[in-house]
Amino acid sequence: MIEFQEVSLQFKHFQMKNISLTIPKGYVIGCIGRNGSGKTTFIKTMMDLYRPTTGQVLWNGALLDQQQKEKIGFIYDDFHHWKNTKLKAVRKLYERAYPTWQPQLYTQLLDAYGLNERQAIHQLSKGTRMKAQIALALSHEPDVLIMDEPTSGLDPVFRRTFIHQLRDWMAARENRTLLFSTHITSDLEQFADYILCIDQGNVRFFLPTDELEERFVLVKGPVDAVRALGVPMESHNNQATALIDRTIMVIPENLYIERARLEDVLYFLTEVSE
Amino acid sequence: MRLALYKEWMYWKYVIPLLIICSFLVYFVEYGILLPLTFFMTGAIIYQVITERQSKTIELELSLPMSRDEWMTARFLAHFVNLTSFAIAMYGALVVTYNVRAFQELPNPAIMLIWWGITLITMSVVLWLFLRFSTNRAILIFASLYIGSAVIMMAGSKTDSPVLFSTSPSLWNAAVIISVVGLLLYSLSYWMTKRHFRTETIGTKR
Repeated sequence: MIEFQEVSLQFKHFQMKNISLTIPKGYVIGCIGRNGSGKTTFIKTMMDLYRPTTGQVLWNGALLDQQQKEKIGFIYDDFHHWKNTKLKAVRKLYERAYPTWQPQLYTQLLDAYGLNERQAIHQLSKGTRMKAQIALALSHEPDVLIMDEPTSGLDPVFRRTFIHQLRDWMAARENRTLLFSTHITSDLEQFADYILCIDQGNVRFFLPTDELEERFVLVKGPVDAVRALGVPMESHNNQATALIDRTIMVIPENLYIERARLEDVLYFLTEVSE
Repeated sequence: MRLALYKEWMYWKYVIPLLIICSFLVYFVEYGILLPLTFFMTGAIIYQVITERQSKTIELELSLPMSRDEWMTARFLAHFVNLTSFAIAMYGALVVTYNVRAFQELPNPAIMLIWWGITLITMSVVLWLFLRFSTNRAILIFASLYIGSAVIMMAGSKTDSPVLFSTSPSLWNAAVIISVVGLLLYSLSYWMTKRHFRTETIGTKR
């Protein structure tokens, strides 16, 4: 369980305001938001790379320490290591870092991903660097996997394989937790249990995926009829579309209802509402 | 702590060939190797900090099971061990050189101690500046300090005297004072940088 207790961060051009939420153990949490909304800041605060101005982040009731870190796998938006370092050297660092390191699993993943340990990091493409990070993160059998845009730079075929792999990883042991941020919302629709939406440093919502689907719908109809709802809308050729939260609004019968995809929710809440 | 030391080793292992090359160079330039070595030690710190900021290596390292205090302790310890290794290796190389040339006396260890102390003082300042401030600001402050101290040294070097073979007690006193000051300053730099690093936001440009 990861707990954000009234966490605020103040930077020169950005602030994260008073975030309080609890990430439950044993679920897949998808983190969405626009560019610069604060997803990476959220993840880095969780990983103790950013220290909150006020508030604190607790991992199972305590501040993040080395014992907790041993159980965390992480994949960042790029492979942050000396560019001339060979993958083999980074593997040796990981081997020393994690007592639960599984050399066989690592070799299997390297083979499956077609990676060569003798290659320097700067020789790898972005997608291949990401694969290397994935292999390193999974090979110590973590309980928690934190990923910041792991699917960016991956080709569609490998992305699908990777999503399947994550599903298998979650199913392999109880109480594993997976948190990942992404712009590819369709990845999350496939298997996320919770969706966390961050916008301009604030948490827009943190809801179970099924509740989200139940709650938000798209309504379509003539512009005047949709405008009468008094919610932000998007219009085209006298037809309008709006996102409705069914828990606070009754939908008139003259409007057509459509399932809202995650992308629609993000779009209407962060773009159209502005 | 072992993990933090290992990540330092990943960087410093490339220095070992240089240590061997410098030991050979001593035969030709004797004490002349010391000043370039001071520049090298300083440059190595600056290069390490700048490249790790560019590649964001620190984000990966601090996400591993390693505390910030350990990270910083390993950094200071690695530089200290490197400098001391160089001092010992260069003195050893000088002794060998003097023997080969059948000099009557051994090289004066006080000279080496003075060099060790002065380099330690320089490293203390550089480590603190570059780990405490942004790269641009650190370069600016360091350049100002460097020019300032160069001017002071030039003004004070009008009465230069040959000290390399001197074994006078005053040289030993100077060596002890400089090395103690170096040690104290290095400890102070370590303490101040570690304190700052505990609350630093890692790798943000926001």
